[in-house]
Amino acid sequence: MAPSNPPEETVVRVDRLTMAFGDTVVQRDLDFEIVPGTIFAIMGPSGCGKSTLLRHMIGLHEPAAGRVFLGGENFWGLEQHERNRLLQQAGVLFQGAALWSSMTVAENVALPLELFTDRSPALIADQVAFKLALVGLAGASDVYPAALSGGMRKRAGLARALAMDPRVLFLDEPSAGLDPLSARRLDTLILRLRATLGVTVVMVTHELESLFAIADDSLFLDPETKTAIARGAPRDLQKHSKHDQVREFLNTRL
Amino acid sequence: MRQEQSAEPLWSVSADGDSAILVLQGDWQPGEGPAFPSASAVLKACPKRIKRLDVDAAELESWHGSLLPALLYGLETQLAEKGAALHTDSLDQELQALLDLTRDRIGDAGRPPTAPLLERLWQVLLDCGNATYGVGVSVALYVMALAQLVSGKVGFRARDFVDALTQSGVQALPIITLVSLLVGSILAFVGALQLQDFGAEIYIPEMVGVAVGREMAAMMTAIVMAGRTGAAFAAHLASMEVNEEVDALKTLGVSSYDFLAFPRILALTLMMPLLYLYAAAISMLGALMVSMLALELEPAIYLGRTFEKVALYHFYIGLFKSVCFGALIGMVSCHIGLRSGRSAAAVGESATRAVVISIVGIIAVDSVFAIISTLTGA
Repeated sequence: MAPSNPPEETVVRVDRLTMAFGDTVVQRDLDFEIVPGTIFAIMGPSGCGKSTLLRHMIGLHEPAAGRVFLGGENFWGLEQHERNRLLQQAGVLFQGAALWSSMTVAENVALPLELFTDRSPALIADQVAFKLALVGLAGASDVYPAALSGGMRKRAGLARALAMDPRVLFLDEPSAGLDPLSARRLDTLILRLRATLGVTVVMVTHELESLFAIADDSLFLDPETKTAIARGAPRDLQKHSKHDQVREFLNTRL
Repeated sequence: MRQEQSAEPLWSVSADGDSAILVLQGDWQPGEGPAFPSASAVLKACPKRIKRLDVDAAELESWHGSLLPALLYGLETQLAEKGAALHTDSLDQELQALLDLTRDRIGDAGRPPTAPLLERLWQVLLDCGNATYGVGVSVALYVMALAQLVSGKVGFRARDFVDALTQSGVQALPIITLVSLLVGSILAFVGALQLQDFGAEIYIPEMVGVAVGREMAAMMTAIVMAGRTGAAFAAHLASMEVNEEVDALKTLGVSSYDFLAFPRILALTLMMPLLYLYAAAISMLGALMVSMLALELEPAIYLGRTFEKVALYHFYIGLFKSVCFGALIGMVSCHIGLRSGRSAAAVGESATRAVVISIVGIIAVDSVFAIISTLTGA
């Protein structure tokens, strides 16, 4: 264990991380820290390892080398039960929402609360109703995920991610597959959640509009050199990045 | 209703006629310790015919997380159901903003209406009708596809057909061997126990031969295949439906029935009679072993009596039945698989339904055979 442990208020820090599938290296030497309270975007072309990086941060993929710190603790250096405790402070919205299909929307949101808190059923019901109302699904609590549209599934997934009042929210392509109106609404929702609940947001996205609208900080993963080549607010990178491919990526217009 | 430690969340309700004031105090932080009130607990402390609830947050020190916002939202919705209103003017901006977010109903999903009882009964009847119709359609589709195959039109990949053949043939041999061996030896054993009293053990080969040839081998293989291969077919096709793979075929103009269901049903129909013959042979082998070991019956005598006394037509009946069972299991599993819902739970449900309906169907078809053979005296 290195002596230079990050201070307690760190939410996420990645330290010389190398990601690989077997012998195939996806990205190497990723080194960054996410400032608490920011909306941090991981961007880059398809196949550069954005989602894989996210999976490393939520404990689904073990680093080939390097470390991931969650809440100031070296995640992969911990025992399984301590990792689980850390993960309870994170909420994850998967790309396809990943709602459990055998449970209603309300049961999906209630499950983490039932498993990890000793709150009374009435309190849990209040929480579930509130979280669903936050994402605009107040009427859909008793519906099964199969009956929801793609956008509604995303919002239900977000409500589930918010269930435990996480310190960090990991979003994998939150606005992919949504109509422009729903995508903007989701952006607004993320901004307001950050403002009111003080949550740090880490999101994988290649939606430029979302990037410029809500991200205050970002990391650009380059599939060619297999490492991060740019870091900063998307608007700054768009104009001042010294890498052509970053400017090109951020200046693409339909 | 009051607690005096300032570190704990405090609340109290003071009522005045049909209005009340909810006073919030202290720290509202999630975590261990104080019990937070639910919205219904707060409402219980309010007057029954409440029209207006004011929230007084002047003494609220701090809040964090969503405990307080969830309480206020719960109060607002539950009061609204009673025709009363929640007034939150004294709350800080962040709380107001969160509550505003919950009031924003763009794209909100309405509650799906529950159908009245009569309509649901009608739906059950319709479902039954659909199921019967489905059976008819399945049989018709199968016959048509067979006719097309004979006329030389092949709507599926040879590779898929070979896979289905192995899945419903060779790969099933171990379990069929085990089950048949057991059934044969149990038949011989139970038969011996009864026949010994009359010194009639010599009839065991005939008894086992007829029972196995006519009923048991066909029935046992069918049930094993329904549980093994039928469930696999249903689950496979159902997950293809979930992944939109079936839709991808349809948009290519490929018939999902010809491409996916037919090769599987055909493979099962072809393999079942072979499995039946194998199962019958293994069952008789089991019976022979029991007779040899427990009854000291010479294998040559056993085999001699089997060939001499068990008429071949028993096996023809068994063989014909097994063809029907194979087609039945295939049709049921593929029909159910292709009509699966679009979720992980639906895949499991399809597999279960395929097995249950197959087994019920097997028993029904077997009874029909029994009735026909009794009437015709075969």
